[in-house]
Amino acid sequence: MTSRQFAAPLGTAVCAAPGLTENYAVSSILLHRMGEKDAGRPAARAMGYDMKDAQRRYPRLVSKRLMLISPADPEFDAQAAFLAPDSPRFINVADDADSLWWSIATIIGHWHLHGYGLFAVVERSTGSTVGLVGPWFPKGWPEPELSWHLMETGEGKGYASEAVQCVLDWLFNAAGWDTIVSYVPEENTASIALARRAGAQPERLVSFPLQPAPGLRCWRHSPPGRSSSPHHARGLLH
Amino acid sequence: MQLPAIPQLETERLVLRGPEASDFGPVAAFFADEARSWGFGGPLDRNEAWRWFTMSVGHWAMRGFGFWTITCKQTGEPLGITGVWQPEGWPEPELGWVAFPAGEGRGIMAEAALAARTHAYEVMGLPALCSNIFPGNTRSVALAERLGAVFEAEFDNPKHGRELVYRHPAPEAPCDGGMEAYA
Repeated sequence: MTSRQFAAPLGTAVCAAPGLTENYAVSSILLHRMGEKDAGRPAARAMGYDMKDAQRRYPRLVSKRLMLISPADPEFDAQAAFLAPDSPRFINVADDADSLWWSIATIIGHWHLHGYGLFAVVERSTGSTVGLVGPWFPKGWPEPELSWHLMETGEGKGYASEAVQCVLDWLFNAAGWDTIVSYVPEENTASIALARRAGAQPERLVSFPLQPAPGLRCWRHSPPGRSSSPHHARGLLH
Repeated sequence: MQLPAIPQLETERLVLRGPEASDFGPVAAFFADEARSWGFGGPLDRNEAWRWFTMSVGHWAMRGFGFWTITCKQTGEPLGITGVWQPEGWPEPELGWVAFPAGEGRGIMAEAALAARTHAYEVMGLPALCSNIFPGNTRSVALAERLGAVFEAEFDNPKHGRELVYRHPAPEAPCDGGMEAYA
């Protein structure tokens, strides 16, 4: 598989939140690649012990321009997407290949241990991976966090917003979550704007072990209709 | 990148199986104990240990190999971890081991590490293996030498700093009783 591309197997249900996120047909470029791969994959049961969730199917989410897929999905090549020499860099993340490798391995392990985690955000028109967005709950976090990290290829197109909305739709409508927070540094105006656009409400400043930056504020996302926000009630945020 | 079907290895007294969520407890206890974990990147607090453990699960998905949990064949009790790992920046795959308190003595770690090394050579087809050991970690050096490994060079590990590289016998030149015993 070439760099930053991924193939979706035929027959895998694309999970889109009912009602809110439209279930778009995958683009022709992805359909083309799907044909190249066998759908089934009962493959690796050969010898001995399987970790219980080794063959677990993780959800895929689709929005207008994006597909969100777990990096732990058998059809996603995290090495090619994030770690190849020509992979686009993450914005605001130190350019350190060794640390990035540990982070990606940890993100994949998080999926296996929790059953959810950060999705790789794939631009449907090109198959390029443009970021990581999803729920993140390492030990020491006060509660699960909706986290987002954009790559250079995804900048300035509204992709982070679209992916965040897609994940929120899935969490609240399909996965049955009641709430999730985002921890945003006070000086990160772009992320604050994104949190506001997504309808999140600012709460207290927080501090917890291994937090990624000082001066974090908790922003709380709530299911539509259950937000106490007067703005939300008046429909001013969308 | 899914987890591979992690092979289960059996020896006379042990079962080496893939990591399970319940292994985090003893792994965290190991990392919290500086006397035990200083030679393995420790000490780490519980939150840091969770990151390491989670990385080690993801390592299986990324590389197709990783750390097994060593368990007692009779009781299932976790006794330590051993396996082959190669995070980014490691120049070659490394055979590593960690003994939990219950896994000390009685040659348990040697039995487990030998099973892992045999699997790495015979099933994975690795042509060579090293173990990188912190200077002064005499217990680990003793185990490496018991496995037939010899000091080769010093190495600056990108994560851990200066380490001693111990070279294991190549697949075609097993040490005493090595391969035959587990073939």
